[in-house]
Amino acid sequence: MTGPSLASKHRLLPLALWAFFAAASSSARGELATEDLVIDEVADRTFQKGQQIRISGRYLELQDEEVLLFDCPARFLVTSTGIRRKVLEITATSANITLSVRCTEPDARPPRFEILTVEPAPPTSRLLDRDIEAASARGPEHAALMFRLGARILRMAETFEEPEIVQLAKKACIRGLLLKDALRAPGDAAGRVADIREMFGVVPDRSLAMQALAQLETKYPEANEVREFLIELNCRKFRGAWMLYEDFKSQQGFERYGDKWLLPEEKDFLLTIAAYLKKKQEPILRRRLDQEYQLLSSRGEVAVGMRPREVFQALGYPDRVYRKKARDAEFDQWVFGDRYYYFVGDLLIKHPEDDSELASR
Amino acid sequence: MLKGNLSGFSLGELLQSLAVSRRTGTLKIILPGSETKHLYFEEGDLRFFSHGTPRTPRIGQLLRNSGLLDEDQLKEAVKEAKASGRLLGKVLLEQNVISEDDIRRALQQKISEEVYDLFGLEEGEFEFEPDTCPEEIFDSLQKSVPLRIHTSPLIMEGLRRLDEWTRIRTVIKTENEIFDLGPQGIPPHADALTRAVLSSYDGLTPVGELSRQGNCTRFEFLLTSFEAIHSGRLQLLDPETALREAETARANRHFIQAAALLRHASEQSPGDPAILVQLGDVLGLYYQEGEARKSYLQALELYFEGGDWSSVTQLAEKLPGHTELDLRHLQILLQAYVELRLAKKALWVGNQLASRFQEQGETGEAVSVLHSLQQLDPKDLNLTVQIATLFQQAGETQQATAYYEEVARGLEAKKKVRDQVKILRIIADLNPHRADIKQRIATLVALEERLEKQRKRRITIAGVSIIAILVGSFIPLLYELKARELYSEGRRAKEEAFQTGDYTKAKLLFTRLRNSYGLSSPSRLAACEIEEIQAIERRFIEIAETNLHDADDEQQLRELTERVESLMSRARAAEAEEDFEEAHELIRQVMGVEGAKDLSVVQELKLPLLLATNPPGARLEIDGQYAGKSPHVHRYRPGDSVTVKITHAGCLDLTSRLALTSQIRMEIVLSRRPLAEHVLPASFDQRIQPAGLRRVFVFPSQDGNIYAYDPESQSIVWQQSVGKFGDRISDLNVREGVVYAGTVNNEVQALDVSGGEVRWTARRIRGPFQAAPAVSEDQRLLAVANVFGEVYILDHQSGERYGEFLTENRVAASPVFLEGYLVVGSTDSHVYAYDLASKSIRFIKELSGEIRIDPVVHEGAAFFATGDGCVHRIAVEGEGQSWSTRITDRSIVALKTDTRGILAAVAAGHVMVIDPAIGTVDRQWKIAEAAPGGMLVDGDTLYVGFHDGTLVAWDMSADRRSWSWQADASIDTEPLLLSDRLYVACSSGTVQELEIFR
Repeated sequence: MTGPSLASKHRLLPLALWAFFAAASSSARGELATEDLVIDEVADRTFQKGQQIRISGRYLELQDEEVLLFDCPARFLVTSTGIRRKVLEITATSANITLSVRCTEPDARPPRFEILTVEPAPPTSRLLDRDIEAASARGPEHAALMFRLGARILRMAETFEEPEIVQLAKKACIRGLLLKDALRAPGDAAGRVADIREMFGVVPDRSLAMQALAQLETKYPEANEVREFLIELNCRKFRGAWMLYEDFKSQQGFERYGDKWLLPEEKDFLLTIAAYLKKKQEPILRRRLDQEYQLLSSRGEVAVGMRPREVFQALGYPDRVYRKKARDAEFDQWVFGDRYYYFVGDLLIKHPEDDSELASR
Repeated sequence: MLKGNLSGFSLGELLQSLAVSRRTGTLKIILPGSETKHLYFEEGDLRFFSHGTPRTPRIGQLLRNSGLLDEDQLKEAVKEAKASGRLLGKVLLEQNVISEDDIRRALQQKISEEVYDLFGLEEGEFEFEPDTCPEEIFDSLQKSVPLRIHTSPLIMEGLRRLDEWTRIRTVIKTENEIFDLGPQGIPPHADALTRAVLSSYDGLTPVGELSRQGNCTRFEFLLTSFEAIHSGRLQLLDPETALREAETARANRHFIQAAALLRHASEQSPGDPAILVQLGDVLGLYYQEGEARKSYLQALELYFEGGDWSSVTQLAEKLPGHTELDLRHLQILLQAYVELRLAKKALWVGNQLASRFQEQGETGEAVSVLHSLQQLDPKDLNLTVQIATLFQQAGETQQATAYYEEVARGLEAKKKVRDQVKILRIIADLNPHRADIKQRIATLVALEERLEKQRKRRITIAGVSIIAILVGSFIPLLYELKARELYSEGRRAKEEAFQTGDYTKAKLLFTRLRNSYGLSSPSRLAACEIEEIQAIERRFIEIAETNLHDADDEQQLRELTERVESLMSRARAAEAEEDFEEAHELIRQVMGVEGAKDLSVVQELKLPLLLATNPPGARLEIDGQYAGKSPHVHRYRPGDSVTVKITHAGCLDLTSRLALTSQIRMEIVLSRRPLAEHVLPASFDQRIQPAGLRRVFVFPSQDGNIYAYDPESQSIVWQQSVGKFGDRISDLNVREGVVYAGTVNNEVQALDVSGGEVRWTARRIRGPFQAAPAVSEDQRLLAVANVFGEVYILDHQSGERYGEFLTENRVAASPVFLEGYLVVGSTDSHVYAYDLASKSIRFIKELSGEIRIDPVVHEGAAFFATGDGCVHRIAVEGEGQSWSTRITDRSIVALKTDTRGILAAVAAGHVMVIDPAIGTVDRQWKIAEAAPGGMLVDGDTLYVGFHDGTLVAWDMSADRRSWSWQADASIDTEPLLLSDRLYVACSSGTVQELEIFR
């Protein structure tokens, strides 16, 4: 459009008044300043059209001209090729980005925003640390926000395999608990347990809940609620400290096998049986002469195919013997310290020095 | 299109030109930093102004800044607009607060101010596109309000302001500066503008920020401020105060304010990098990453200039990633790491820098970087190889060859022939014409083969040398050992001679030592010994000669006899009262009476010696004659030597030669001898148990059977198969004619003790088991626990299951029944109390360590030992332990009860007696130096078997060893006492039968 034609139109006063009111309207809404939001707040908030916010997070992808941030319900529209180029440039070297955005569809679910500017955000740990500071500044009534932030950090740690940020999740949750603590009466142990329950509802991390409860127990040693919740979380007190049941079992020397906790020798026994049954065994195991086996056992050596007495002559009696039946076969495990010897039908099928396929299962 | 640069053509001239020629079109001004301003002129007059986007100014703010609306009015109108849902402008018009002209004036003022600000531009480009209006960039408010600003007054005012700006900048150098009201305060007659401007200063907010917040224009604000500064009413905030205030602001989470204060402080102290670092930290806290980075980099430069390498490296940690740093900053970092000799980091940065240079084709720079890295580790040939590779990649063959040759020299110095050959081959590839290199390669390959041969030869020579050294050192050692042996023998002979007076043998041995082993170290000692013996013999001769000259008369003889008689009479009385010490003393007095030696009674006088044995009642033969049974009194003259033979059933015969000098009593402990040795089919690391039939005992064997054995007839009474060869079944429990055992076949069996028949078998129970089953006091229930920690309670009569529960680890110790509860200690360090009535766990108590040995029950409480050397009392009624006592640093291997208390055998060879009420250690006996295998209490005697094969009978009332016996194999279990016979099971598969002498 050329200048003179535009100027002639502008002489119309009604149009000017309309424009004035439109401007006044946007001004009334636009009195809100750009606000820095933590991602976890977005779901809670209602936005006004044109409202500007700034948000930082882990960049996921550019999908249909919209920037997706990790765990962020909102979507951010790329409005120009400049912005698009900037997003791609920044995300090439930086995992996190900061977006200054303006709300375009506040009523949409999730609300939609258009990107005004984009900048690189600090490294993840610093960014999350900042989020924690910002969220905690919202005040005690927003403690649940801290828990949600903690949950997001845990999801991030898992998704992006960044175990070092798990500490920050704990920090967020503990900060949330501290905020809630400030609202509780000094002797209110039950209330504090309820706070931890709330946290556990959002961040189902037993270890974290256990730590918080263990700390509470030192403060309220007589409070049954604390112990009850610890038991409910399947925690055990051992050597003066509360621990998760799985840590307790590990300390007891057990190993996980499916959903069971097994002694190391039992686990080895089961695996050996499984390997034996899977593999087609040679029908003839006793492949040497009796004299050869005798000679070996007299030298303290064992070999596949030996009978129990020959193994005994080589090694003595075992410390323990385990027996199991599977598919009509009876399996015996002789345990000498941490060395295991296996018999089927009174013939040795596997021993620690054995380098056969069964042994290397 | 008209284009140009503002450095050559000022804005004033430009606008003047447009006004004079009454041009229509859009002037685009491109500021340094790519910011643009658009001015649309219509016939030389300014119509629209834009920053490049159609951003509509906020009407409320615009009116307030123009002074047409105060803060309260604005707030009230905004409130009304929100409440009614109407537009703010409409509300203001309806309230008659403003008119449409007000809006036009406000807009005109705002645009004019924008244009005035452009007059200060010294750099920037401009483009004028005639007859064009990019409508989309101008906001709707401007479009709807017909504005026309005459250019000439605009130019005049702009130029005036330019002059004023020059003055203002002499005082307010940047808009980051912070001022505060001085002591003079606001002048009482100041106009409204001055009052408003001065009252906005708070000593915390930068002047630029204040100028944007005020109700006047920025120019008015700064001009007023300038005048106030000039008159001393406003004072520049000193950097120290700014830093202090910044710290407070940061603590209160006012990051923007803190950043402003730090920025001011930094500008006032431009050489202080610490402030810049603080500023960067604060900026980072409120998302100003780019600004923060700038601050950090400025600080980095300053630290670099100051040579503060340590701070440079610390600051580097704050920068997000080195990949984003430019070359200069990477160079700074590299230098810092090199200076601080942080080799790892320097290598990382250096390699990155070198790569960047290489990418840009600056091989020389890359090499220089690698050279600096070489300073860190001049011997690092890898770096030299990298440099050579860089040159090679750049096609600089000559340079590359030179570096490769340096590497080759380095490798030659290190004698790494193989690597040297590799490098030389690269050089040869680079320089195919160089025959010398090929020759060197051939020489080195030959050398390598030769070295390999030498290495093998060296190993052979070293082996031979070691053998020679061993032989050479062994012979003198044998010579010295033999000499010492002779010396020890001589010393023993000399000590014997002190009693007998015959030094011949000792003298002979010492003389032989001197003659045959003169070069050994004991040779000189032997010479001293010979001299000493000779001196003793000389003194003997002198005494004999003196005695020959003695003479007595009759009177003296009578008195002497009376005196001797008196003493002898008292000595006999003392002996009758078994006071042998007194008798000895008196007889010695008789012997010492002057002149009494010649009396026949004295010459026949003998000293009494009480010969006792352990055990007593041994038959004594002295010098081949039967002398009686011990205890026996033998009489001797000092110097006598006798041969004593002692025999006793159950003990080894003992023959001993006694040199008698002044001995009063002798107790000879006889070594025990087994009455019988029973060779049985077991290795006996599990207890043998009394069967309750004469001396029959039962035991499990790992040949798959349980045996009952009668030691009297030395025959197996019965054997019952309970598994296969090799099976390790549980320890046995024998109660009321039944033997209970847990087997590997996942069963618990009850056998009849008289014939071994199976009474019942409980199946569907997981094995194996280690600890013996336990039977309740009322004979109603049986409890057994397996190595998985599962505890089963069975009916004693039928074997049917009564209850079960689970512990968290192996159960190695027997359960115990205690006052209606089953108490089980697990290796999970917990004790479980199971209520037999309600069939539920009453309590679980954590102890200080794993429970592996059988507990004992004493006066209504169970006593557990844990692997950490503690003993714990668990009383059911108190729901837990009464006490815990740490009694040793070693492990406890067995517990027993006795009237004295709880006896705990410790791995160090001690037995401790613990008070069951309070847990204190009342007594402690060191029984032996070995680890006990098991113990048995019989009255005052404690029998302890040790893993080294020692069996000790300890007299607990006298706190001493009564006797001991040495088996030929380890004793790993407790002995068994049946009808005054002690049965000791050894790991060799024998049970030794020893007699108990009560």
